[in-house]
Amino acid sequence: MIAQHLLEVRSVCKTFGGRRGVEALRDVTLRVDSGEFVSIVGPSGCGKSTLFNIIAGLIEPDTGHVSLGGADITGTTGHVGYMLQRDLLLPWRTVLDNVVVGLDVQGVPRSTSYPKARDLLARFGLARFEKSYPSALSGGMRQRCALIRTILYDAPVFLLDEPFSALDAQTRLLMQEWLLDVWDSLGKTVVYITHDVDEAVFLSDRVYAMSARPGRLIASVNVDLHRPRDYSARLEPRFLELKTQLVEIIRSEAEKSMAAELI
Amino acid sequence: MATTRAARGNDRSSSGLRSAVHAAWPPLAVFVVALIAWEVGVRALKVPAGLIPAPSRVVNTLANQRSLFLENLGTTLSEIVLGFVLGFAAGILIAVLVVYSPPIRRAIYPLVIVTQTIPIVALAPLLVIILGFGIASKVVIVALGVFFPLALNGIAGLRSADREHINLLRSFSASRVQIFRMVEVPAATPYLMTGVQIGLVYSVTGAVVAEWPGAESGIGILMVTQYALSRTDIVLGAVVIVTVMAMLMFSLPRLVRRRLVPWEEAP
Repeated sequence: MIAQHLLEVRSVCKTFGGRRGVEALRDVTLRVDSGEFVSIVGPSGCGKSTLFNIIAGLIEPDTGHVSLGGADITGTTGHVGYMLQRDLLLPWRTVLDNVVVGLDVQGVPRSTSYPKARDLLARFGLARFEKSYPSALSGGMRQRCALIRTILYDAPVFLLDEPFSALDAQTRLLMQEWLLDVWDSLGKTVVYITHDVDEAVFLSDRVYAMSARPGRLIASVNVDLHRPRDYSARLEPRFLELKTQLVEIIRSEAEKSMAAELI
Repeated sequence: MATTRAARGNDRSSSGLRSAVHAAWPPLAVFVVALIAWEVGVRALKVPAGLIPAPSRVVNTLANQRSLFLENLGTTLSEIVLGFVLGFAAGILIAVLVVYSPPIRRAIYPLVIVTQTIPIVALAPLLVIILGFGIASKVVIVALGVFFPLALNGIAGLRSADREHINLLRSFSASRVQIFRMVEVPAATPYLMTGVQIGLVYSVTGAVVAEWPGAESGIGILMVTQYALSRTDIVLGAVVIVTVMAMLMFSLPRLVRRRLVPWEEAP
């Protein structure tokens, strides 16, 4: 293979719980280029999070491989930054100690990690809260901390699994724009999992549509909206076209699987 | 915003103090009225001091016989401290083994649950026969009583660690020991504090009662010998000391809790 993709998932299958188990993923193949922002949209329970955990190395696929920069990383951890709907801030660590937790695990001394962390906290308006415990922060602030933690860990690929879906609608829109700013300035590769087509189109260079269980990738749509984007991108006719295209793909797939269930 | 937050914090603690005083005065008033009624009743009816001593007499005895009480208190306190340390260490050890070793869990955990139903103080006479009149038998009784709440709370606490917190650390390639230290131990700390609180309160009663069947010295054996001499004032003085000790043991962990578990919201 000549074209070098940064992240590659090849023919991954996963079934949980033995013979009469649940087939979560069927033959999933995807490629993400360096610096690309790729989203995966699909209905809930379609195996998005299983795929996510396989890429993160937390779950081993039954068959298939995950590779990063050409090296096989199937079933091994530590290669990707990882962020979920739940911020997963440790309640017993202050904001500052939470954002450096990945570096703590790697054995990076605090004299190195704290200055970096303070820089980012200041940049994202959280400097005042470095000594606060997470319970004192709002949901949006907590998710910003979680992203700072991901940034500090400094993996080449960020895996984000519905990171803003628990936030209220206004905060979510602001966080999406903020994420694009961060992505723009860091030049990281992002794999973003969501069930929200609107969010996927707004954020991504490319959107994969996933079917209901067993999860398969059924389409890949290029988002040719200009960059950098702000809220006004949502008002463009092209945005609506892309959104309609994806919604129709997902709907027709959902109808097929419902029809199949009725037989 | 940080300042308003701090201000609100102060506000809460001062109103906390006010509400504590507000909550404390009615029971205190009832207590004082009961003491006065007791004092007046005993004097008016000329009840013999050997039958029911007046509160003032108990207070007098506590002051006059200071050295007697202190000497015996020293023995009981060493039983409490030694027993607590032993029981704490054993409880934590068993909790860790039960949580992290499936074979040990299968073999030991049911026994831990079953042995919790044994009335430990009922073993005291037997232990005096086996271990003699020294403090050893009392230390064992205290240790056994402290062991159970610590083992059970330790097991529950270590298991309370959030699966997704563990996965997050795994995603950073954290080792088993790092996950233990950075997630499971902090998650277990509030549970352990509860176990310590229960264990400490038990250890006072445990040590005192363990002395009853026989001891060289201690608050418990003082109660028994003075009861035989009808010195009810000394017996009641000993009861006061035990009560104060138990109250201190109960509030001690509450005082350090804010320091050890600073992330916890005030209960």
